[in-house]
Amino acid sequence: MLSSLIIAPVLIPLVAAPIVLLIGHARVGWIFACLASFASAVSAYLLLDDVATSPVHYHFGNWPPPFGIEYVLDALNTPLLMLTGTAAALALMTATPASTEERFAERRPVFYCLFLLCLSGLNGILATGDAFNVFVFLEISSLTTYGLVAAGPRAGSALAAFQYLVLGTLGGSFVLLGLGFWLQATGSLNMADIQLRLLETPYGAVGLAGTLMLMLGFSLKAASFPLHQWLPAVYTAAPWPVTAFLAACATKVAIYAMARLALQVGGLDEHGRAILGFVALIGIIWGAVAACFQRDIRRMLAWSSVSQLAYIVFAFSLGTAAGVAAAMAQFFGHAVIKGGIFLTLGPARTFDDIAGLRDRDFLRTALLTLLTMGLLGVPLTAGFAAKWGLLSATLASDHVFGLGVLIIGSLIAVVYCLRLMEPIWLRHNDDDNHAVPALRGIYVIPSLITVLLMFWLGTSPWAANMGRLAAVSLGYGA
Amino acid sequence: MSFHPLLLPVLVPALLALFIAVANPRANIREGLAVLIGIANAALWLSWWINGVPPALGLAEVLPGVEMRLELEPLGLLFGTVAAVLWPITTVYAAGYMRGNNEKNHKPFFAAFAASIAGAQLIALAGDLITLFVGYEWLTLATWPLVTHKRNADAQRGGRVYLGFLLATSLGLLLPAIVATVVITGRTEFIEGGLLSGSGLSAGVLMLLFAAYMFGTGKAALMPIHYWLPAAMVAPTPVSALLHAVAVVKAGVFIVLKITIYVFGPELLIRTGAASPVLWVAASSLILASVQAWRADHIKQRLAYSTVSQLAYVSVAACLLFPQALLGGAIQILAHAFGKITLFFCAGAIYTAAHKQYVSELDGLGWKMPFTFAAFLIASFSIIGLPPGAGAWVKWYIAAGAIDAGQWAILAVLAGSTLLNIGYLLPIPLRGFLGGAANTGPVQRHEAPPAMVIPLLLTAALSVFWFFAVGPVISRVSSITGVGL
Repeated sequence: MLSSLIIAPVLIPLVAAPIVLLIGHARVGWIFACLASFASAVSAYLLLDDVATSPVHYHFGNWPPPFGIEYVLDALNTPLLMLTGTAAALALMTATPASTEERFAERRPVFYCLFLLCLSGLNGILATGDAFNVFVFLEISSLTTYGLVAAGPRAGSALAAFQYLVLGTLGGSFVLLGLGFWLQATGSLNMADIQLRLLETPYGAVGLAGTLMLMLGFSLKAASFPLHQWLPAVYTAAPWPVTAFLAACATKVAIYAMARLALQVGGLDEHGRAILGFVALIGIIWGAVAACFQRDIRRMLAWSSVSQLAYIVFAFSLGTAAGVAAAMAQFFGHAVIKGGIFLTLGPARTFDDIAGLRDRDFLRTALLTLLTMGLLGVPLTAGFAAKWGLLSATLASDHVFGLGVLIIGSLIAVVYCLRLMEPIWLRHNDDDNHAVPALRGIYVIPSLITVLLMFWLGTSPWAANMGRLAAVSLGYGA
Repeated sequence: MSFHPLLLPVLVPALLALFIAVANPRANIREGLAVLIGIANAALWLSWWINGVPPALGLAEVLPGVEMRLELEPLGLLFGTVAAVLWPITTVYAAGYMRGNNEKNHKPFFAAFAASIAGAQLIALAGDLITLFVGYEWLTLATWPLVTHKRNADAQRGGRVYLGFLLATSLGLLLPAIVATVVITGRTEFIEGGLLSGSGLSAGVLMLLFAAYMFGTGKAALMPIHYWLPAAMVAPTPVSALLHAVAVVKAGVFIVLKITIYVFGPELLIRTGAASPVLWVAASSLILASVQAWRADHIKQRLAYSTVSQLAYVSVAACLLFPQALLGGAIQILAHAFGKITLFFCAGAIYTAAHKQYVSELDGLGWKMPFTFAAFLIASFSIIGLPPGAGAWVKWYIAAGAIDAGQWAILAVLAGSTLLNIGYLLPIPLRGFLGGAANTGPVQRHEAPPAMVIPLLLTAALSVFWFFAVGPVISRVSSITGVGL
């Protein structure tokens, strides 16, 4: 029972994807896809207690590592598997068969199939303990993402998908190169094995080169500053359920891979981490400032993501248990909040679309306002828990410069949050704009769930406790 | 968890706000209900003065090792009661004002109003730094719809300054100061004698931390972060009256006192001298804001700058640190609240009845609106510090504290400020009654609606009442500041 559960988060969506295609019926396929995503999250949840104490392993074909492929679930990746599955289920719920957001309406099952494959790829990156396997799943998730983005409603969607494809392939190539260097240096592809062997020959030039290439590749996939250019275009071009899903997990999974491979396996030393942290700090400010000048809501939120993701990278770069815990809190906080905002915004794109929203769509206004408060870091929300973790971890590391940047970053966030709230609350809907239909029916449920999750994360020490265990999994503190 | 009385002042106004927002009851039902709940809430707070306060209540562990809790101590009791007593009075006034001026959007107005009160009372009840911060941000956000109520360009600008200043200071200074306190001490709850008293921090670090708390509490409007207060005057007058003369700004100075007493502890600050830089900022703020008030012709602007100056009294008191001064600061929360709300009520009444907004337009208006201008005169006495206004005690005790501390310059500041207060407040009633051409014929009396005049007479009377009834406040508060009267 237990050992087969380990592969369930990857296997369920992987198997469900072709079944959706075979079903061929839009509505049935939709429901099936939602359920499959949810099941992958539940299977991770069932393992949560087991992985809290020590990692659990699954050896494919009973080949022992380092020869065979193994999956390793621990306190770091299991919660993230819950996150991806839940995010996919909620995003899929809003991608109803009747939706007019995506093109190719006659081929809905293909869309759901791609969505599930993408989830399966992300879950594979999270679950595997084999370095080459990471690359395989990275390509699965990337290729499907290109298709999902290209399904966007705009003429530019295909172009954005193509640009993303070029950059994504570049990132994938760096990952592959890095793995090759590691193979050269250690003769192994198993993560735990590579870690041991790199320790034996600390920072041989080839091993270090591999680590740096992996960092570069995943930085690109994670849209880490300064490799973030593709992100605003993709978030704007994709159908909004896809944007919500990507915002909630895709980039975060890449950051996870960077932390796992570069920090843990590659054992990046303090100088490397200092550089990583410094670049992330610049990204925090850069993204936040850019967000304040966008004319399109999704573009603004995408730039905000560039900033918010940099917080996670910075937290990891501190190299302390408190830092990892803060990174986990921000993982969850930002996923729930930003994903929730995209789901709740729905088809709204411009600030005119949401002008005077409070007068015609009170529910959407209320949910958006609460989620924006989370983005701002108002207490009792997940955003506050993350901010608290970041500030205290930074203070505990005596990183005064980092503290200053975190504070300035959160102040700039006030500006872009207010840019979202002002049209909703203060403007009048002069030209009788009805681009955004009122939030109702099935669309209410995912938004509501994200809001509840946001408050739950903000008022329970669950994420912080989980983060502490995750830090142990990454090798910090006991 | 059985139901705990300390939850009532937070939950009941919050539920009222939700009810108004969602159920959208008819105007008379909505405002009647708000007044009734307000009276019951005030009665609850007053009963705690007589029967003693309920025990502390632990809420939930929100962060590892950090538990939110509600605990009522004398300062919180004082601040909470002031807000609770003035809420129903202001609701009556607001109903009269909103109808008298044909304001729109009553539903969100009254909903946000009740939500703001819930936030203010949560601040009063906070037993730890996190709960305090929750209440603080809640109050900031819940008052933004009120400041921007008119939804025009002016309101938008005012709202930006308002949120910008309050959020920037709280997220930029107050929150890091709280996090630092928790990282240093590992605790969040308020304890007598001061959370940081045994931390062994150097004077320099304490000075920075104290400054971060004082300026981070933007609601206390220390210069140079006072800009939000005049900007917030774009709100309808009842909002300016209750929130920007009472709930919001008093929450600010309440936090200033609370942090001084329970986080640092007066002894630690006296020993290290860490509060002295802020003392001089507060003293300058006190004088400069008075000068600004003198120069302002717009009545609400003048009152707003006067508020900045009056808030600085509490900050000065907190930084003087001696028991008499802290007591004076606490009484200021009570005295200034009743005095200033009366002044704002009068300004709103003048606007409603005569459509006048500038001091220079008031000549001779006093005989048309005798009740309003008489109330203004009485409340001015209290703000200036003349008996029988309750404000007299404030200056008495702060002056005594300044002498204890050996700060003779502060004594001079207090004296100068009193003269400035006279200079900018008394011209308003004097112009009203004595200004303009000599009245020959009989004057047609034209007051604002009774729903506005009765509240302002009540608050004026109460600001005199507290001059005689300040005893319980002194005995309660001196139990924590340690003054033997």
